[in-house]
Amino acid sequence: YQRRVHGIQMISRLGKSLRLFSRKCQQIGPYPPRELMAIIGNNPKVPELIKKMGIDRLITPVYFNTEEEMMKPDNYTSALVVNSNPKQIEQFITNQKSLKWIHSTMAGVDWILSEKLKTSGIKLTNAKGAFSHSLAEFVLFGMLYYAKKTPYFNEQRLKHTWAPIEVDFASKARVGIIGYGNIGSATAKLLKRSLNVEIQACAEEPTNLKERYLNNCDMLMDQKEYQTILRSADYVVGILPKTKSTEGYFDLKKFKMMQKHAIFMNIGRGVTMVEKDLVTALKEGIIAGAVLDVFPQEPLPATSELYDMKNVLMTYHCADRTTDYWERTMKTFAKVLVHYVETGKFKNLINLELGYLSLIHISEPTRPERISYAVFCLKKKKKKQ
Amino acid sequence: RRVHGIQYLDTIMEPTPQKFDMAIITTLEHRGLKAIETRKLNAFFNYEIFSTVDQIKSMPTPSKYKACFLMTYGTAINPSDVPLMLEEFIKRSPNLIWIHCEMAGVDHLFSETLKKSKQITLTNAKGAYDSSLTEFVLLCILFFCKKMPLFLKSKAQHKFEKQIVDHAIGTKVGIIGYGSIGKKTAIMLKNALNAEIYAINNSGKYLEEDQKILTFMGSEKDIPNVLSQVDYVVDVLPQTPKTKKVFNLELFKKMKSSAIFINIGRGGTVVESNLIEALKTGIIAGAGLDVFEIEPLPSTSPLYDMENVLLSPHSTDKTGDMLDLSMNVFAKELSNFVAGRPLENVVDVNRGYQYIRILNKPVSYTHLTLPTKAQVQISVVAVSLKK
Repeated sequence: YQRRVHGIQMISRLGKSLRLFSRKCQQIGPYPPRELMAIIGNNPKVPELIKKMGIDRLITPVYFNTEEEMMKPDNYTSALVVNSNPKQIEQFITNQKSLKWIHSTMAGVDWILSEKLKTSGIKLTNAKGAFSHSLAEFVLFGMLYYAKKTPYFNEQRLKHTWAPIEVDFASKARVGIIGYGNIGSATAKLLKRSLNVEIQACAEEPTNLKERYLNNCDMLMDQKEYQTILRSADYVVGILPKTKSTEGYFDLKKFKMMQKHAIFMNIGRGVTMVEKDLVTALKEGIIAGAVLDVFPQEPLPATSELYDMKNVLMTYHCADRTTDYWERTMKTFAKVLVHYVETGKFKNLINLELGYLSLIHISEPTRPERISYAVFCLKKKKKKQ
Repeated sequence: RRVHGIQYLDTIMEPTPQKFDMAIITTLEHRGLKAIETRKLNAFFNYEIFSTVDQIKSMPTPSKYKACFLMTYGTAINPSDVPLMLEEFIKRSPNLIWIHCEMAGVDHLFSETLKKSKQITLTNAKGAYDSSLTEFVLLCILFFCKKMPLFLKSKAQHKFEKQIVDHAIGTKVGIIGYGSIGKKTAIMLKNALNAEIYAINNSGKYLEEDQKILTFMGSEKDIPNVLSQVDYVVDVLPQTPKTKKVFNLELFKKMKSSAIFINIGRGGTVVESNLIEALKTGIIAGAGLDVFEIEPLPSTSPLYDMENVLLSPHSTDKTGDMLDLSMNVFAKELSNFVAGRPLENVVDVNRGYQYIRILNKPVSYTHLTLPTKAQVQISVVAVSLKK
């Protein structure tokens, strides 16, 4: 279990790995002349961590006090986005002419993508893998919450009644993941390790996934075969990014395909589900409950019907908002920066046409020898068609 | 393979011509009776059902029963009547050797007649309910890590308030009463969350396999030390005269102010009024309770209204396959009994829980006067197949 716990070792010894990164940054040393990086957004932890990790030896960070300072044209070759203001970033891109690279400290980048960015030739990277574990824990919690019938007990508590009922095993359930990527594989890994559940998943390009993602789930399919997952899963987890094809993905049709006792969980983007259809599905008993971390409108207006529903669990986009949030993002940023400085290529590169991190890893070479049998079969099927 | 007790009975062992007599204390509608018939366990014994004290009193003395099976969980039988029924039964049956209880907690069965009669061995359903209780512990830990009480509160007020949330990885968990349930929770928490586990035992001794999981193992005197270091305290104590009202205000004050108290053992080990006071005044941060001092919890209890408490009305072990799990244990014990082997889940009546396992000593009980040839052959075959 020590080997398998490698992922956890990396995270629990965050201090140690931070020190290792700072050492690596110091070994590479200051490159003459250092490029300028604009830091968009104010947060007191960012300059602290940049100094601590030694990032300012590889690149000079530039901080701004006011918006006007930021918009003045200068030789910024890269930018680190710390806040989430789409208009600011659009203006910044139009004003600065020598921008080559933008790194976002969040995993979801749908709000940065605009036509200007696509036509400008700037490369965009995100914080892939930084929050996967926090979201995995949240999915585990959601499963256990409904398996042990806590919404029912909370209801009975208000009336001061003692009402024992039969309760389920969470380890005998089947989980279906829609939008299998880094977050999906981290959830699958945690669920296997703790409860040993059966996991089925679907993704857009399953043949291009890394091998270690494949080992975590039991069955991986193409996204056209979502019906098999929805019809057989007890817990449906949606981890879809916001793109043109995923807006309004979870509508009444899809809820009707799910089982009556199924629980729907959304940790991707709120726009991928239709709120009205979800409310009708819950009221009419088409599905049994929902666990939502994201909503189509944030903040969700107080008039929404989801607040009053007893079988809905809501966390307000806080599943990844942990106490070590900044240390995690800055660690991934340091990884990407070190890789760029050493090789000139980018990790975590976003495919601007698709709108999410394409699973074709441009920087790392593929390993054709180790492709597993499942991928081999899928590839064969494609050729036949 | 797990069900090897049943396999033995169905396929390998032939029913002996000598069926022994067993009494089952339950109601006529209990599902366990159907389970006995479907599993063909009644090929080994003749049974009769007793549901009231009067039926036992009207039994002819001395009775012929060698064994007794208690299936009173969830039936209409009053739980306070059960020790009375057992007493009367023991007085009238001098041939009684074995009592098996369907539940894991047997504290309600102890009486002086049981302690005095040294020929009787009491067994329980140890290990049947472990996995359901460990899932509840994991739920409590994640519930308070992700600050759910605050989210539920703001949901009731229709507010969209963001909170900062904790990681559950690397938390420190204290398990007080390390036995079968404690071991399984330790393994699960180590696998899932890489938790550091501080366990407390009666003797302070541990086996080699525990060394890989635990960071600390202590005995009763180490309890205050452990409580001051730990983020989550899990109470898995059985109800015995020694563990009565262990958790009082003093111990709650020694815990951290951010600590959470989880109780899956017995409600009698906690002084409930002190727990309520500690929660109200902020001495501890929250609690996850499955068991209470008085069950059902009276409606006047302030625990119902407290936001930082997760309540479950003694339902975590009530899973759909609860009957199957306890029947598996019973079938295994029955195969041991019939083959003349020592019984496994023996409860030490003087201490109030299973004490023998931890010492790792072999125990021999002679259930039959002398094993017959056929029985010796059967036991040899069963042992070789087990290997």
